[in-house]
Amino acid sequence: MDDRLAITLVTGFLGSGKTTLIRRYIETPAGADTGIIVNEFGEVGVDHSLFVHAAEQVELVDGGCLCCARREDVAKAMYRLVQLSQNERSFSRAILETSGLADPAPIIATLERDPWLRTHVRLASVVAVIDAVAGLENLRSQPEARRQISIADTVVLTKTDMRNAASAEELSAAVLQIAPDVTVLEAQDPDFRADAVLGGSGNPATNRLAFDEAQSSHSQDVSSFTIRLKETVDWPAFTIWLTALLHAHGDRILRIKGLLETSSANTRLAIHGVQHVMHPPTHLPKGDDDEAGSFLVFITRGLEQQAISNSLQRLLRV
Amino acid sequence: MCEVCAIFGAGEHWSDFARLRDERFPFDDIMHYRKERARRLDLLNRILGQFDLSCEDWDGEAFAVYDKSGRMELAPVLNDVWEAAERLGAVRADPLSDRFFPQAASRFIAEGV
Repeated sequence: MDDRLAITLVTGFLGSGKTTLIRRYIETPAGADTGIIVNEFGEVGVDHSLFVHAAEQVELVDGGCLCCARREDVAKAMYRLVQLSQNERSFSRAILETSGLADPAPIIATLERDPWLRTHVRLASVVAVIDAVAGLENLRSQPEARRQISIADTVVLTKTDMRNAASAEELSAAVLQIAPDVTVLEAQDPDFRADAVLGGSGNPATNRLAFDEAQSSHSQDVSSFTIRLKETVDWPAFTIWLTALLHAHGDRILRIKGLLETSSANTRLAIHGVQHVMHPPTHLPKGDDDEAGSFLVFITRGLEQQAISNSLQRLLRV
Repeated sequence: MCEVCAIFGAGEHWSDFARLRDERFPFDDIMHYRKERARRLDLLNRILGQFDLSCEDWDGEAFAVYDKSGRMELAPVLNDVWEAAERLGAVRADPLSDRFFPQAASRFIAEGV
């Protein structure tokens, strides 16, 4: 049994409503025992002992690639939270709220690369919050806003009831143009449940239906596409190809997700990665959609589908 | 497990997790894992051979990358093989380049980094 502390990363541009969403969740009984790390003190008026404050501090590791920078602040805050959870009060899960201008990729890299954190914490999900008043303009003008959406598993639309708000449809279309496989929810929807978004303790979502519908799209510097694979994937060859691809171009691969029928495992594998960092694949239970085949979804900056697809097919044929 | 190094003989890298069963221990499918790892090494050597490099298993977990003069670098996980190869071979490992693929060996010309 995996007893590591499940952490949900909540990201979103300045003023998008991250804190409000988190507050909405931790005020429910289900969210009461959630440990929280915030990069910025917000206006959350809840039990202060839940909070660990992480002053922004980014440390570049060897090579200096920004997406692999070690977030020392996050690492230290997570240490403290895990220790709190083990000694003083028990948390069933944790939420890390990034600052509005943060690129979440280094946080994910820090969680994945720190040996101690890797054995005590696991990333459950990445949730991006986008507001209907400033969100469209942010997506147009702020690369950080596009990056936050590109690595999210779920996007929550907020402030759709406000004057000057864009419609949920318009906002949703802009989000899906960046990340066609992402699940989009509206916080104002009467059926919206904050606990369903923030209370999950599984692995980063692998939304099978959304995968099937994912289409190639392009939004400014970010493009996304799906590569389908007809045959069983030779796992040794695939891992050689993907590690080399991420080594050479990881800074331009914002997100990769996929479901693969492989030579190595009995069931389909869900894979999931952000820039240079891949998470251990998850074995999916056997199900009705096993015949759906293998596919990979890429969200990239400046890499062409054809080049990636040809390269993969070529290595699988070697 | 290696009695000297206390190594279990199965990597903890993401590329090592595609096992027959979704369980880390007990590692019942160790032979299947080893076979897949041997296939991976074979393919790695076909690619690295173009750069006058070779690769060996190191205790079932890491990789030892060699150049022709016998210099060796240890790559703890598969990702690190490419960095080691670039340092030892003064080449760029890029699967979007023709030069990465074994069948292009005859056309391969070492590319400075």
